[in-house]
Amino acid sequence: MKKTITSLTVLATTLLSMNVHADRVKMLDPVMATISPSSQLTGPIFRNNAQDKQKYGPEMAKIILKEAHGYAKRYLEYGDTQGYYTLMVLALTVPMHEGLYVHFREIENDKSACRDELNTGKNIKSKTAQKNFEKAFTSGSSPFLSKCKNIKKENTIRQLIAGGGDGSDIGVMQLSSRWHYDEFLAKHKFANVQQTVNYGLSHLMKGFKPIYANFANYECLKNSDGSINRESVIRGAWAGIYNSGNLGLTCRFADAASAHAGKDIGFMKNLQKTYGLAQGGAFGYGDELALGLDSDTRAALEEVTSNFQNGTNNRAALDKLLSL
Amino acid sequence: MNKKFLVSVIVLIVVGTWFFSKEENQVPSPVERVEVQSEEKILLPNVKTPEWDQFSSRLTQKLKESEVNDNLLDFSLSAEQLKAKNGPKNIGDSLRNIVSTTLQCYKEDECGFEHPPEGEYDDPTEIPALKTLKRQLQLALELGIDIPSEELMESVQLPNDAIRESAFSLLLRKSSQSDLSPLFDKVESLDGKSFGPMMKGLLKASQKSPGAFDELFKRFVRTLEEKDPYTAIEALESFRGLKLEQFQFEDLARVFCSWRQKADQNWLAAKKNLEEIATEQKLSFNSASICY
Repeated sequence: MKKTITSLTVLATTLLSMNVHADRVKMLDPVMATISPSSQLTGPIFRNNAQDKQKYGPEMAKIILKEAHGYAKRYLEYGDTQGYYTLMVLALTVPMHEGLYVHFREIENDKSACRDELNTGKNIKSKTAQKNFEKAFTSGSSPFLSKCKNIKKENTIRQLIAGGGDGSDIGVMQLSSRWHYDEFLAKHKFANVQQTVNYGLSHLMKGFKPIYANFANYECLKNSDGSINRESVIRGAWAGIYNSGNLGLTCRFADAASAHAGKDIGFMKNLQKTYGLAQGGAFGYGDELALGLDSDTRAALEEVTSNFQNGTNNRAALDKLLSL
Repeated sequence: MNKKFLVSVIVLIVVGTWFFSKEENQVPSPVERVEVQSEEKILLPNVKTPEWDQFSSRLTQKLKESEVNDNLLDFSLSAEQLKAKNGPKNIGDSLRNIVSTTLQCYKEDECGFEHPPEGEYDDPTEIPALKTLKRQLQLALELGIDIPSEELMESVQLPNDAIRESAFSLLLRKSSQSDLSPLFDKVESLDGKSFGPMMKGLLKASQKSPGAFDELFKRFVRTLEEKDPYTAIEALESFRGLKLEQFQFEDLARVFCSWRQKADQNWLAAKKNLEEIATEQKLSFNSASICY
C-alpha cells in the first residue's frame, strides 16, 4: 500500500509540475512591456516550455524566410543566387540580434514580470519617441499596453519586447518609436508578427540594395582582389542604414576604434550563430532562447546558410517551405 | 479507513491534476492566430511631439491661424475628407502657403530640427519638415492642386524619394513639350531610387513628339553611363512600357557592356532587365553582338 501511495504521490507531483509554465526567461524581463488582455495579436507567441518552443521556432523561422524571400527573389531572377542568400542570411540574423527572435511572449502572472516603466514608456529618453509611444500604446479607450494594476487578476500575461535601453525600440526588429511612427506604430503593425518582420525588412532593404550594387565605392565591402565581400555587405547593411540611419556609416563595422565597435562585434557574433545553423547549431539567441525546429524547417535553414557559405544553390527544402 | 481515505485523496489529486492538465492543453497553441482589426479602420493619428510642436510653431509663425491649415497639418485626414470639410479653393490656397513656408524654413535651417547626438540613429530624410512636404505634395497630386513650378523644381532635388516623385509628377502634369528639357536638366543630376521612374516619366511624356523623344533618349543614355550601379539598375527596373526602336535599345544595352566583362552581380541584374525589356518590346537582345 505504501508503494502505491508513493507512486501515486510521485505521479501527482509530476503531473502538477507539467502543468505550470517552466520558469520564464529572466533575461527578457527588463525589455518586456505588458499587453492589455483585450488586445488582439497575430502571430506566434513565445512560451518558455519545450513543447511550445518546438512549435514557436518553425513558425517564426517560416515568417522570416517567407518575408525575406519576398524581398530577395528578384536576385534569384537575376541568376544572382549568392545575392539571394546574402540577403536571406542578413534577414535571419537581424531579428535574432535585435529581438532574440521574440516579439510576443506569454508568462505566468507572478506579478514580478510586469514593469510599468516599460508599459508606459516613462523612461524613454527622446521626448518625441515617448510621445509616439504613448500615442501608439497607452492612449485611447482600449490601449494596447496595460498598467500592472489592471492585470492583477490575470493568470497569464502577454508581453511585447520593448528594448533599446529605454524601452523605445519595438518588437522583434527593434524599430525606434522616434523614427518609425507613421508607417509602423501608427498603423499598429506591431500587433502582427509578420507585418513587423516585413516592415523591418523593408527598412533593411534601404541599406542593402544601394551598398550591394555600389560595393565598389566602399573599401570595407571589398576583398583584396576588388571583388565583393558578402559577409561585409551583411555587416555594413546592419551598421549603416539599419542601426545608424545613415548610408555613410556603412563601414562603421570595419573601424575597431569606433565608439560603436561593441555593437558591431555583437552583430558579428550573432551572424556566426546564423552560420552555425549549417553545422547543426541551435536556432535562437542562446541556450535559454534556443528554439525547437521540425526537420523540414531545419533543412530549409541549413540550405540557406550552407548555400551562403559554400556558394551553392541547393534549395529543395527551402522551396518546399516557401510553397506552403 | 485512514488508508482508504488517504488513497481516495491521492486519487482525487491525480484525477484533478490530469483534468487540469488537459484544460491547459486547450490553451491556444503558440501559433494562435487572431484577426487583427483591419488597417483601413486605423486612421493615422495626428503627430504631436516636441519635434512636431517645434516645427509647427515655426510654421504657424508665418501662417494665418485657420481651420483649413490645421486640417492640412492633421495627418489623420484623407484628401477626400479635406475636400469635403474645406472646399477645393480654400485647400489650394492654404496648401500652397504651407508648401512655400515649409520649403523656406527647411532651406534656412531644416526648420530648427535638432539632430540627435552624434552616433545615435539619425535619418535626415525623415524629419518633420520633409514628412510635411511629402504629405502636402501627395495631397496636391490627389486633389489636382497646382503648385508653383519653382517650388516643385526645388522639391525635386530634396533628399526624400517620395517628395521627389510627387513634385516631379506635379511638374510633368503641367509641362508642355518645351518644358521637358529644363526638367530633364534637374533630374539628370539626381541619384538613387527615384531617378529611374522620373526619367521614364520624362521620356514617356516626350514620346508625343518623336523628335523630342529621340533627343531626350540620347541624353538619357549618356547620363546613365555616368550613374552609379544602384541608380542604373533601379532605372532599368522601372523601364517597362516605353516604346523603343531596336537601335535605341542597343544604345541602352551598350551602357552596360563594361559590366559584362566583370560578370559580377550587377551585370546579372542588368542582363535580366535588358532581356525583360527586349521581350516586352519584341526586340532582340544578344549581349555578345551588342558588346562587340
